[in-house]
Amino acid sequence: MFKCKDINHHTSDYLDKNLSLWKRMNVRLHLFMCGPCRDFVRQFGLTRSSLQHLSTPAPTDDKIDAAIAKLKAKVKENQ
Amino acid sequence: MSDRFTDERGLIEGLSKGEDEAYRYAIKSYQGIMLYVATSIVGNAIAEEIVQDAWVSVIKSLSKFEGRSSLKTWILRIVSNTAKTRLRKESRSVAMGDALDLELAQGAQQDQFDESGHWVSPPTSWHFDTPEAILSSEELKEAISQAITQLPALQRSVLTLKEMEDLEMDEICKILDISESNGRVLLHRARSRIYQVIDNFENSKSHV
Ligand SMILES: [Zn+2]
Repeated sequence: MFKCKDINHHTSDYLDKNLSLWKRMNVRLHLFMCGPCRDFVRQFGLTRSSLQHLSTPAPTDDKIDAAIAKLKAKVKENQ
Repeated sequence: MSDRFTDERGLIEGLSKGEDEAYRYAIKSYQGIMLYVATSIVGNAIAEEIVQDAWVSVIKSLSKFEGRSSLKTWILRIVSNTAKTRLRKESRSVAMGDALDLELAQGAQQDQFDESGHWVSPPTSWHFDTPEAILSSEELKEAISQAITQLPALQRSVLTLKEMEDLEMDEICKILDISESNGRVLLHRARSRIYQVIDNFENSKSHV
């Protein structure tokens, strides 16, 4: 039987559908009986989908300008 | 102008012709994640240099890009190879393994659970019920972004590649040169850290 601690440990794999059928059924069974873990897994899922709404920070315009200049110089050097 | 570049073929054409606007679009889109990947492999000090070298390789080998993966994935593989080659040259691959061990050892589960494996205190129920609700608070959004930048380098890369860049886990682990099981541990750690940030925010608001 999974304990709350095991649920915490398996939450990412559970949400990513990366658990064996046996483990998956055990997580389900625990969640059926345990309110705190249900809250935790639901909120962990929210965390995960919030992250999917974000984007990787892009460099600032002056950094981009500097990178373009360096890249062009290097490409020329290499030709 | 940059509409032309949202299509990969348009971007590749622009890059091959050496168009400034294509360079700008590509650097804006990929430089951030390239730096994260390079930092995870070679560390902060020479990551920028690696990314620069990788860009040069990208431009030089564009004609060899066959479109079997996305352009982004292909570029990130080049970053990874450039970084790994550099490590080998400097025989620093040991340092890389140490960084992984350190990240795996750090921040393992805190004592949220008692000896019998039950919650010491049950998790707070959030009032948020959608990602939109979470991200509608500028303060919380900023706290989350901050926390991501402050993650250990490998965790930051795994999280960003998976959630923001939408790469498959096996591809991510190849790029970062880690096993898939380690990758999954790091991903869970990173998500747990962000959970904590949202949880702290929720707790601080509910006490006001
Ligand atoms: Zn439980």
